[in-house]
Amino acid sequence: MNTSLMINSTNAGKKYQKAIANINPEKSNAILEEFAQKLTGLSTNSYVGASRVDKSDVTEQGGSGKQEGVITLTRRSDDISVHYDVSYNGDATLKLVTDSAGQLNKLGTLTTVSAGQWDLEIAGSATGNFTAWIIAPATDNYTAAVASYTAGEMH
Amino acid sequence: MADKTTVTKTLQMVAAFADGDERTINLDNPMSDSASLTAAVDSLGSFCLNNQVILGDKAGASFTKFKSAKVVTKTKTVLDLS
Repeated sequence: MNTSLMINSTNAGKKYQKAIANINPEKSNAILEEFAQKLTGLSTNSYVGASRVDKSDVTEQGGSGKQEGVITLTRRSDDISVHYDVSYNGDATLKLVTDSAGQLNKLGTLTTVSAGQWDLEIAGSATGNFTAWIIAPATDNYTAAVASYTAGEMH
Repeated sequence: MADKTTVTKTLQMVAAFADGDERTINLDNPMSDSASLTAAVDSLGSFCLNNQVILGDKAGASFTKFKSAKVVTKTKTVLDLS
């Protein structure tokens, strides 16, 4: 995150605009306003106002501006099977595979719940320890996101 | 024909950070009274130190002080052909 502050002031009818880069993004608007007023106070200008500009860093490949996604898994379970809430904030299609190279498997089911949210259900008859992978495959526009779950801990 | 002279003043402040980094902030039309200006820069320095408003270029470098603040005068002379 790169935060800047734009400070506006006037002097004898002329407008001035001062940009200050590398502002601490955690500071409240009230603190930033006070800073802007104090900075303007070093001059003979009259303070008009200040606005903050927050820029998010977007990781891109191929210049498309798409964002790398992150897959998160949160386990929940019921009596019969094990479910994970899966969320993913990227642009690719999620796939359930047996390894990070992308082999398809039938150990579980990945179901879309809503945009960015899936339900992962581990097949009730699966036993023993195994790790399965959810991947969002890489394309020209972004690198792959990968998450895994290990089924050995369940029923 | 006579020369036209414009004089502009800029306050140049150098902010120092804990990792040795420096940033320069320039401000036009600084206060003319140097004693008041010095006091105001000191006050701004304390505020920036207590609140860590401005950051250095490197992550985690905290603001320590304004190590210098000087008024630079630029005189521009042009030939008036009117």
